[in-house]
Amino acid sequence: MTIVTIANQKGGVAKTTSAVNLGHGAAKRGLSVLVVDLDTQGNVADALGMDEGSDLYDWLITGKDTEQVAQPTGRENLRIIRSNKTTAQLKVAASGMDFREMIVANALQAYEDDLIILDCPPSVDILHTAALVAADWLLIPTKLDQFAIKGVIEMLRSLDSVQRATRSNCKLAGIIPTFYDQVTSESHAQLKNLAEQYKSLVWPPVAADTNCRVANRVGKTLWEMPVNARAKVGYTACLDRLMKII
Amino acid sequence: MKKDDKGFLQGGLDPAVAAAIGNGNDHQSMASMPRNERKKKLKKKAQQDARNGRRAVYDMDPDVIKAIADIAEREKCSASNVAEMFLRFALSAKVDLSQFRVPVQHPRFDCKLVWPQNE
Repeated sequence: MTIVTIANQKGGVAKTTSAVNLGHGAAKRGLSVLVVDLDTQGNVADALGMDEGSDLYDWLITGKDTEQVAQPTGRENLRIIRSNKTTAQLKVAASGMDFREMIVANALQAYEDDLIILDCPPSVDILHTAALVAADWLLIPTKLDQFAIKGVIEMLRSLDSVQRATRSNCKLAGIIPTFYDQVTSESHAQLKNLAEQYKSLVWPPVAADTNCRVANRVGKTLWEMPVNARAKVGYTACLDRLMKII
Repeated sequence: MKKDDKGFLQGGLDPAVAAAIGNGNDHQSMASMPRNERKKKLKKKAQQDARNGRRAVYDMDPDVIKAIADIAEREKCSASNVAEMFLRFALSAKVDLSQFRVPVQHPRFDCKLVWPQNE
């Protein structure tokens, strides 16, 4: 079992899109995959055409059976643990717990999926820390703009702090440049800068593609879209990289 | 290039990232070119695009690549031409590749064709 956390403190950088598409991509390649939504917005369920749910709260706070909270998605090998507004209450409840940063790691012990993807919220909170403690690998999607790349740097600081404080084994797997547009000079300059700084840790860029937004609207992953979406090329290459760490 | 224990390239860029940067560089330099130069560049790009679909990249052992290059030099023709002739020869002789098939643990492929060691 490999646990991958997808996080960036900046919002709107394609964390959920990456989690859902890499998760479904790995499931299509024969791995059993569980995607856990740690964000109050509950967008993982939306992206897969399902209703939001309080699975995360039921799982971590009320102690509901692990098999009951992992929802089938109608896609082979792919299940999710949904989230909604109750996740905000979860954070309050968890803040009073002993060993609260272990909450996700302990709960995940009951699962035997090949790949577990934790989709983090765009903030530093208890669930964000718990995800870094539970994970083997960290993946950071980033838009190619100054604020999002600042988020990458902050995220790496966060990882370092968590490693020091908890002896977490989480390592940086890579940085996924998203919304890449080779025509705009800023997008290109930021990709070059990222590649110079982080070298082989930079994963193949995912092109800016309206099909991602359409896919989210209709509740499908990119792999279910009939058109030849440009972002598929980037996510396929990222999936190849992901398969090497599982 | 040096790789880590997971197969990731160390100290170098992922080829897909390098290609994206290369394409972006082309776009950026084209945008700042005088019109006639840009026209020439576009013409060249159109010729390259026309060749698309006629080119392929395969991973092969260095000794196989060298063998093809050696034959091409001997026959005074291109390496692509040599590779094409061998493939046409294999197709015309209806070679049964299943005898070389070995199952492998790979995310995308079930088997690998392996040439017998003693030959």
